[in-house]
Amino acid sequence: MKYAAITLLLLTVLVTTGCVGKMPQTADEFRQALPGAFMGKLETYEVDRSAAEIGKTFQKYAPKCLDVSLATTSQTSSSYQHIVTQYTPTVIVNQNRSELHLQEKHQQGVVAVYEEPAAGHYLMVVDATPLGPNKAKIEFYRPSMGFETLVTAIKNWTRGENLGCPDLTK
Amino acid sequence: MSFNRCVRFFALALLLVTASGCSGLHPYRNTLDKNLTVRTKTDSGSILTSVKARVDIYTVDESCNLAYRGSVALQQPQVEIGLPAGGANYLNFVFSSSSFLAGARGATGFDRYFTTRPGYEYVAEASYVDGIYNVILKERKAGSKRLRELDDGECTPKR
Repeated sequence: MKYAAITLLLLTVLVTTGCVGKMPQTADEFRQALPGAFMGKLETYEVDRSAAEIGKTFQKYAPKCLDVSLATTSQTSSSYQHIVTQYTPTVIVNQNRSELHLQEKHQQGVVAVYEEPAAGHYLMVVDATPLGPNKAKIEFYRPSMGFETLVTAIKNWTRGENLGCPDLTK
Repeated sequence: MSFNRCVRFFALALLLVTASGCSGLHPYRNTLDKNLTVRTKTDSGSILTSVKARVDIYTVDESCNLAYRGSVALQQPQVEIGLPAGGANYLNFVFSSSSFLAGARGATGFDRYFTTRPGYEYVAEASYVDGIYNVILKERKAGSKRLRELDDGECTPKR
C-alpha cells in the first residue's frame, strides 16, 4: 500500500513535469541529456595515454569489476529496505575512441516508473578520444554527487595508475 | 545469465551470508607444500573504518563445479599457502570493511581461476586501499626470480 502510494505520487510528478518516456535509451541520448540534467556532470580532462591503451584497461577491468549484482540492506526501528542492483558495463573500442558505458538496474526494492533500457538506466559514460600517440581527451558523463569510489576507480583506469576495482559497498 | 556471472552471484551470496554471521566458513587445512605467497596491503583511508582480508579457497572439477576447501585470514603482510600442485583452483579474495561509528559493514570480493603447475610458485598481491581493491597473480618456476603475471582465467567445462 505504501509502495503504491509512493509510485502514484512519483508518476503524477513525472507526468505533470513531462518527464515520462524521456529517460535516455542509448549512450548517445545519455550524452545529450546529461550536461543540463539535475545532478548530472560532464567532466573533461586530458591524460598522457593513448585512447587504445585506455580501451584495453576498460576491457580488462570493467567486466570483472562492474558486471556485478549488489544487495544493500538498511534497517531502522521503523523501516526496512532491501535493494538489489545489477550493474552492466559495456566497452566499445575502435580507432575513433574508446568508450565505457555503465548501466544500473534495480531488480528489487526500487520501482522504475519510467521506461528504461533492458540493462537499466545509464549511470555513467566515459569517452576517450585520441589527441596524439600518447595523449587522449576524456569526457566523463556522470552523476555530480555520490559514487565517489566508482568515479575514482574509473579515472584511475583512464590514467593507468592505481588500477583496481571500486568497492561498490562504500 | 553467463557462467561467470553465475559464479559472481554465488560469490556475492557467500559474502552476504558471511556478513550476516552464519557463514559456515572454516579454516583451510594448510598442510600441503607451500606454493602460493599472498602479499596483502589494506588501508581503509579512515581511522574510523577497518578492513580485513581473507581468501576463500575452492578446487574446481572438470565440469567447473566448485568445492570449498576453507579460508585463510590475510592478517599478516605475507601468508604462505599450499595448494594442490597440478590442480584447478578458484580463489575468492574477500575484503570486509566495518565502520565503528556508523555500524556499517560491507564485503566485496575478487575472484580468480587458475591452475597450479608442479614445479612452479605463485605470488598473489592483494590490495585494498581507499576503496580500490585488486589482486594480481604471478607465476614463476621454482627457484627463479622472474615473475610472470597471469591472465584472468575462466573455467571451461571439459565434459
